Amino acid sequence: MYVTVLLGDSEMLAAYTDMLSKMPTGFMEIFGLNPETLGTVEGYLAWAVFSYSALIIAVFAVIAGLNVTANEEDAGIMDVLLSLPVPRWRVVIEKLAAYSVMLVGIIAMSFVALVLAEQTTEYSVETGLLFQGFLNMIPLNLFVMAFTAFVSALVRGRNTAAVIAIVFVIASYLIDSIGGMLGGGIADVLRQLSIFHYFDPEPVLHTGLAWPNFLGILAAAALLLGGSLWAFNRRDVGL
Amino acid sequence: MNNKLPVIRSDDLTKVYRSRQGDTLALDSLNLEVRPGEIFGYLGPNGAGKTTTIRMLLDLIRPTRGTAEILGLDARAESVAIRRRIGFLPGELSLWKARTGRQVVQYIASVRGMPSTAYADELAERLALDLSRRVRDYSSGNRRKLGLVIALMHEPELLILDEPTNGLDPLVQQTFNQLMREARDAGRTVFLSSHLLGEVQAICDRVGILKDGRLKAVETVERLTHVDFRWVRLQFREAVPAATMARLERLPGASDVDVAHHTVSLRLTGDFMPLLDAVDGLYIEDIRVEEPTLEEVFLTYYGNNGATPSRAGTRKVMEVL
Repeated sequence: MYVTVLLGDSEMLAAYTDMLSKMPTGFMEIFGLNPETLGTVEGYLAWAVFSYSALIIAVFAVIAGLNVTANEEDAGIMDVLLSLPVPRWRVVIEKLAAYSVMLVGIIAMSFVALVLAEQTTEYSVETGLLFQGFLNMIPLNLFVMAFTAFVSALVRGRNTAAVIAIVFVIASYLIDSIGGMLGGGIADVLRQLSIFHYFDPEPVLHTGLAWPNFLGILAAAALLLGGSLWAFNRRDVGL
Repeated sequence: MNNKLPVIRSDDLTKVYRSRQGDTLALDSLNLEVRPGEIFGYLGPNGAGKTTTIRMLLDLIRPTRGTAEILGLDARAESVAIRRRIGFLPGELSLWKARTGRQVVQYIASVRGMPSTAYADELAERLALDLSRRVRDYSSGNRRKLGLVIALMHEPELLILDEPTNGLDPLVQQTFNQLMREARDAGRTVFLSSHLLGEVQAICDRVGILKDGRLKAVETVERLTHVDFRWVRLQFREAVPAATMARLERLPGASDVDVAHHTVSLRLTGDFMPLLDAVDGLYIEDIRVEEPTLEEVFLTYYGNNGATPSRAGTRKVMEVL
């Protein structure tokens, strides 16, 4: 809806850009707006679609990560599950795999919706680049899901795990945004610690995927998966 | 498996829960053997360490020290193989609330690789459980029944049941007892925890008594209920003279002597002949002898730091339990 309404024609985009450009630069950057590229369709998509969608889907990723072990453990269902001939690692792997498929499905549906919406506007972005833009969202959200699953396996309490995961996502986002606004020195160093720093959607719409970032985030997610397996396998369950 | 091997064996099994408030010794050096084909009652009040033991046997929690073997397999290293061969009912059963009983049964059956759920249907029928209802709509008793169906439906070699009859009505408890006896008759082993002594007395072959994380005693139910005292009530035709009362109170082996009208009640250890000698000359209308209940036997092992259990004391302690 966003895309269809706001990108309907060049006048609408210009008016919209004009409105946003009156905001203080720092304020814009906190909300992920790039003042230099906002007036372009790619800049708009990077902000309105990819940055925000990634955040919204990250909420799903946190919920999915909690569903790997924390929710069923908290509800006491894990006792029944682990009384069956199922190794603990399989519980973690199978649930993460199932939620990963759902995650990819949600991102794929978002891609199809955007492509369809694009047909109703006067703008066009190369479909291959749009596809890569959506592809770029997958590692980030897999990372958030694996991080939540890891924290759940480590700290056991569902509420504690949820708070840690949510704070992590919000803090990462803000560190990247505020770091970008301040620029230079320690701000740049801090940005390196944010997962959102490696998920930079705008260049993807111009030049395609940044494979080192893409693979790096996937590798980090895989490490967290390994950590989840290790932590869940070694501790007491259901206390 | 070798029929002589214990179905459950623990060696120095110990669990300490660590927290910021300090360490809690939940189970202390448990050495226990459960034999094939028996119903073993694991008896103790809340907090005695029963659930902790069961959770370690199932590898849900890990021992601080010691080992356990189930069906000859290491409870930690071979837990998946063990769980294939056992049925488990947790003390506090939680299931997927949005699913129907049948969906839960089918899911568990599929994980266990069972080709049919016909026996589960039969069990549900015997327990008067409607499998078409959602778990969220079940009463606590019906959830317990569903838990029993899940634990029993694959006819496991070993049943581990944590407080299995909690929330079951008396009629269903009878069915439960019957199911346990059938399991034993089929050569299976049952390990059930309880704080309900009557339940254990009704179906168990042997009982382990646990207190404060320590196993106090393991005995056959038969032997426990044949300890060397009984409650005796003598009803006389006339009032009991003070001299007779004095003799009874001094009588070796007699305690808790109580007189009401023409009736004397006492706890007697040893032979009857000294008692009859003590009331010599009085006309006895009736003699009633009661074996101690398991509650009272329980107290002799368990409570009052070894003090002799009295009827009133027993009732009081059982209320606390």
